[in-house]
Amino acid sequence: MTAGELSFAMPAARPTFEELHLQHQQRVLRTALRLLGRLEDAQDAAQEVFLRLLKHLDALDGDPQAWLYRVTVNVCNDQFRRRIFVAEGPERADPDPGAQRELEMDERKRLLAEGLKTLAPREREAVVLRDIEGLSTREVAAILGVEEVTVRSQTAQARMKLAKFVRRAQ
Amino acid sequence: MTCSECQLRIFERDLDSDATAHLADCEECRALDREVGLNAEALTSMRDDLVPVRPKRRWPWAVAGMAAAAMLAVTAISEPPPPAPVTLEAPPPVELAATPQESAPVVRPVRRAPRKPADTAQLVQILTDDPDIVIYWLLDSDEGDNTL
Repeated sequence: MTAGELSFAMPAARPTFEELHLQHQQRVLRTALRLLGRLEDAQDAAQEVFLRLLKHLDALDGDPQAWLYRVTVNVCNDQFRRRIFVAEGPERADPDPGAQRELEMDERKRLLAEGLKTLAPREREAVVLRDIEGLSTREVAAILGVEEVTVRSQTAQARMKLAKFVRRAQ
Repeated sequence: MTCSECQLRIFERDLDSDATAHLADCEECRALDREVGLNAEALTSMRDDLVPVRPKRRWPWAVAGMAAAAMLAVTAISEPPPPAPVTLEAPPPVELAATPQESAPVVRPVRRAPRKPADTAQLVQILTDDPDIVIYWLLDSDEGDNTL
């Protein structure tokens, strides 16, 4: 085999682990953080996800984004089951009713992040992948291994609970 | 369309013409739609949040380096003991020399030294049928038995 044939045979375009890690690190971390609610746990989960990626790198073809989402959800589920989840209530309840109008986007985001912790795991997964990560219903269904109609239902349920949570907290 | 039907559409973010018409008439559903819309916007903006990456832990290497340095230091401090192994190595040859197996090779040359062919050699004369031919064998006293 000549050098030319060798270079042709080698999958040169295939990204290395380091490249994939760099490319997907924030996505995995963000998803894990929204699913678990704690930075430390999210960092642990992300580490586990990339460890699995390293292990299965040779078996993966094409863009591993969907695979990474699926593994992230699974790892977070495992972590979730292992720990005693203490749902923290809203940290503040502003006594001033006028504060509702002044609610900044950051505050809403903070409340939503808290609200995510109160959701059922499946609802949280659906809304994180659908609304935060911006995946299509079909993609989310494929990642979670459920029907699209289930994703739609779980996402709607999650949005309703989040809306109630934010409203109560305001 | 009832409020509950409209609210379902709001949460699904799938407002058809019937729902839009209902929103125009229902303040409560309009408020909910605004609320859910703001939440959706906030959730979408979370996508741009940068999550702090756990810094790479370099301390295990530092600890390993320190451990290696400590081991080197301990080795350097315990350099004086080398004489001890030397003194420990010395006795065994002495003990081995006292064993009978070791004495054998020493004795052998001594036994061979006094050997003189003139003293120990034996001359054997063998006569043949031909009177002009006589065979002489020179035999060593020690090895002669072996050759015969």
